[in-house]
Amino acid sequence: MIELKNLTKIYKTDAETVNALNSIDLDISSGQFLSIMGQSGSGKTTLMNILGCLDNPSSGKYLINGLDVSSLSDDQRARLRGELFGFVFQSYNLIPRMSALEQVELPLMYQIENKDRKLKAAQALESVGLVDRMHFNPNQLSGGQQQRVAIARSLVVNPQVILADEPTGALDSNTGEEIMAIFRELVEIKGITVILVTHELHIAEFASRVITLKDGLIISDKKV
Amino acid sequence: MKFLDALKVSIRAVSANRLRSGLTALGIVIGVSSVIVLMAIGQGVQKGVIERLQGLGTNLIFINPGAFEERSTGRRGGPGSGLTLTVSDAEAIENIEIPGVIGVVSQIDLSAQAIAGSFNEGVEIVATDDMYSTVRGLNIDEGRFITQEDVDKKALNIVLGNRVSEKLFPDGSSLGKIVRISIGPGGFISFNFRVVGNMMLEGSSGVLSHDDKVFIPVSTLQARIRFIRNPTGETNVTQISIQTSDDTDQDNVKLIAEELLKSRHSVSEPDFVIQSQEDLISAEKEVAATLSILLGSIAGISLAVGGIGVMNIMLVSVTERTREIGIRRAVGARSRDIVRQFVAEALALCLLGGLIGIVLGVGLSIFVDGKNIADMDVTTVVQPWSIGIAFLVSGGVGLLSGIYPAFRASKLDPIVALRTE
Repeated sequence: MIELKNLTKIYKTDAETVNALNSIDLDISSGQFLSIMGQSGSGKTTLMNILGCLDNPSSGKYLINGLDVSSLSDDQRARLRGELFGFVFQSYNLIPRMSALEQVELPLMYQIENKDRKLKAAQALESVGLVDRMHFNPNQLSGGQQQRVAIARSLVVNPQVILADEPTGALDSNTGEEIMAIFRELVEIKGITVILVTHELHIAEFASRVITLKDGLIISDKKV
Repeated sequence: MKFLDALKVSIRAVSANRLRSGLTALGIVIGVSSVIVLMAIGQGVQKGVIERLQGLGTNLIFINPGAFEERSTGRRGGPGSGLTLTVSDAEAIENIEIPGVIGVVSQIDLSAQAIAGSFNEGVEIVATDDMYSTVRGLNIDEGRFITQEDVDKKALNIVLGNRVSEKLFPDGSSLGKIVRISIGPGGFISFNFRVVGNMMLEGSSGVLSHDDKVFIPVSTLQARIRFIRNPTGETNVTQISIQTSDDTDQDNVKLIAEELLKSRHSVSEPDFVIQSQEDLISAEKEVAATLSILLGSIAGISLAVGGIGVMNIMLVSVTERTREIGIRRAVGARSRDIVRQFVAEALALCLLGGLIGIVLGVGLSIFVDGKNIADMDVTTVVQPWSIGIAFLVSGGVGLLSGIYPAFRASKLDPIVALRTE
């Protein structure tokens, strides 16, 4: 479903040119649970941003379901983000002073078809076990609960792919494992493709496939 | 994002930070309310002037001596500056019987002192005949106005304007009492007049009001004071007033009177100014409209300052909420959704300020109406369109001050925005 062909990303500053990604080829099939590992600076976050249509490659091709993303306009990529992808971040990225229900409702506001928003948002919160907290603001929730709100927010649009950038990085190991259990469930029960970026091996091994990046190159690609 | 959603989101954002939103909207509140109040004062001035002019009587045409044209001497003569009109001019206009003309009356205005007992009052003498009260629509309080008999007999009878009567005879009726009128430097010409009538209070003030005037027969003045005659033995008048019936074409009357006077004066260009009441009213309306615009623009400046305040706060808000913008972009917001959200927020702020400003401005206008402020009677008229304009302008200010910050917000790189602390 996702195909990267000869994908390169170059960052140019006045002083230097950095090849964040260096001619990467990668196929990700639907329903796969993939971890991307690597040291900081290996290019994993850049890859994540490009996969999530937040950034454009400098050269090479990125196809989603056969659609060439680099040919899309800014608005079309925004639509793609809103309908195909869900994002989960290390720092949760919830909006202050908004209840859990409103956070989860947010992606639906930007959809063309956006009826029954409250109902859909409540269902998404229920699927992460937070329906009793839906009127709480982020500062009233624990880290694990906030991350579960973020997962509910990514789920509410019924995405094909969830992109999780160090989702357990700010959590203790028990809570981290609970979050990973949710991801595994999403892959196994709902058939959602989950792409996880992490630098922790025991988190990466929740996935069925682990690729490792170094200096913008894939140095290993293992099935677990 | 749908507009209604954008509005809801923006109202939430505005109400999330009450103090800041309130202070920001205050700039708009002050701007809008001062626009409304100052426009209302401008309109009030216009209304007052028009009422005063209408209070002169109905369907009047005024002829004043002097001309607007450049004279051969190079001096510019304003209306009333030359002594070109005479009593016989007025009689001539009356005699040709222009259709639609109800009455013609001439008057001589002179400043004088009126003395009664220990009271001494500066007054304006109007020397005229019995037609004056009819043409000008004056009402007698007690006694009578000057009659044809007074004029024929050159009687030393006088009619007092209401305030003159009050001041000279504060303790009781002035009817039948003696008033001494002194004219000229040091009052070297003085006559005793008997009061035969008192006028009703008009209530207005200024040169057009009859409350500070006294009325005497024109013939009395002509007989007693030689110097008001010109070298040909004619008596110069200050003004000739013509009253027409309701459905008369006043322009036609003006034309006929003008041709007559020109031929009588043997001049090709008029040496007098002829204006209908409508001419005067429209001229005054123009002046008052200019005043309204001037006052409105001054108030508009404070509105512009308020708008700058809104823009400033919107820029701060965009910076503070960079991360929120990143999140919204990640979950599918297009640039234009972000633009819409922030413009809606600036609009919400300004329209909120505008609504409060309208309530405050209208309230203040009603409050000061009829009050005496700094020795001036303030009249205010709130026109519905000024409320409409104020509302539209505050919306416009919201759009203008919101667009740039919103545009900046929409141009943020989502990746960078998401990483901002």
